[in-house]
Amino acid sequence: MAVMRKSTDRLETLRRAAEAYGADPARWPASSREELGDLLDTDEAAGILAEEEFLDGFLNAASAPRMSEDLTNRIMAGYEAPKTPAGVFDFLRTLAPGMRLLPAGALAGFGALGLATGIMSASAQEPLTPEYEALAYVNDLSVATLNEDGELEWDAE
Amino acid sequence: MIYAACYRMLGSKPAAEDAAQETFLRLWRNAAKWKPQGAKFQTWLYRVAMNYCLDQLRKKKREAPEEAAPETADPADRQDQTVFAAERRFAIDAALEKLPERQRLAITLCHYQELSNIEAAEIMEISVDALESLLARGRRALKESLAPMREHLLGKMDDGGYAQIN
Repeated sequence: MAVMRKSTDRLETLRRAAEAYGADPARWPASSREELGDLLDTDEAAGILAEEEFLDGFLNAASAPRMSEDLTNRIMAGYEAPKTPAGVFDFLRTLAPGMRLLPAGALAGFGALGLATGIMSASAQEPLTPEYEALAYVNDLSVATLNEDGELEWDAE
Repeated sequence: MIYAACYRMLGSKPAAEDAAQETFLRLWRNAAKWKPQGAKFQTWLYRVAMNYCLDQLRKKKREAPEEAAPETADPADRQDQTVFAAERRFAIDAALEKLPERQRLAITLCHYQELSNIEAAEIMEISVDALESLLARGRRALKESLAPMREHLLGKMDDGGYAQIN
C-alpha cells in the first residue's frame, strides 16, 4: 500500500512538473529530472506527457522575430564612447562561466560606429565592457565564451 | 534575446523594438554603476526589459481597454509557411496574447528564453513555487484556448489534410 501510494505521489509530482515546464524533461528542474527519470518510460507518464507535448508543439510554432540590423544600430547610437572601467575583467568573472559574450551580428555595427577598436582585439587582451556583454542578449549570435578562469574562449566557426 | 522576449510580451514588432531600445538606453546609463553583487547581470537586464513591457501593457490597457484583439502577424511572413504551420503559429500567437501578463511573462522566460526556474523567479521577484503556479495556470489556459484549434487540426489530419503534426 505504501509502495503504491509512493508511486502515485511520484506520478503526481511528474504531472506537476509537466504542467509547469512541459513534456520535455530537459526543461524541468534538475532535481525533478533526477527524481522522476525512471518513471518517464511508463504508460502513465506517457499519457501525462502526451497532453503537454501537444501544447509544446504549439508553443514552439509561435513567431520568433529576430532583431533587425537597423534596431541594433539604433541601440548602438545610444551608446557613448566606452569608458572601459578599471577591473572590467573582475566584472566579467562575476558572470556565470559559460555565458555567451560577443554577438557576431553586432560586430559590423560596432565597426561602423568606430567602437570596435581595441575592444574586439582577436587576442582578447583588451578589456570588454559590460555594454558588450549586454549585446550578447541582443542578437543571440555569440562568438566567444567566458571560461571558468575568466578567460575568453573563441568559438571555431 | 531581449528583443524576442519583448516581442513575446508585447505582441508587436514596433513595440518590441521600442522596449529593447529603452532597455539598452537604461543599460548604457547605468552600466558603470552596476555592481556584480546582488542580481546577476542577465537577471537585471531581463528585469529592466520585462518591467518596461509590463508598464507598457498596463498603459495600453488603461488607454484602450476595449482593444483586446491581438495583432496578427505580417501576412508576408506567411507566404513561405505551410498552411498547417501558419495556422498553428497564428493560433498560439493569439492565445499567448490573451494570457494574463504574469502568466505570459513566466512562459516567456521559462519556455522561450529557456531560463531556469530560479532565474525566472528572480527576474519576476517571486518564489519558485509562485512561478510554477503561474506556469501551470498559463499552460492550462493555453490548452483551453487552443482546444478548438486542436480539434480542427486533428480533424484535418484524419482527413489526410496534413502529413504531419509536429
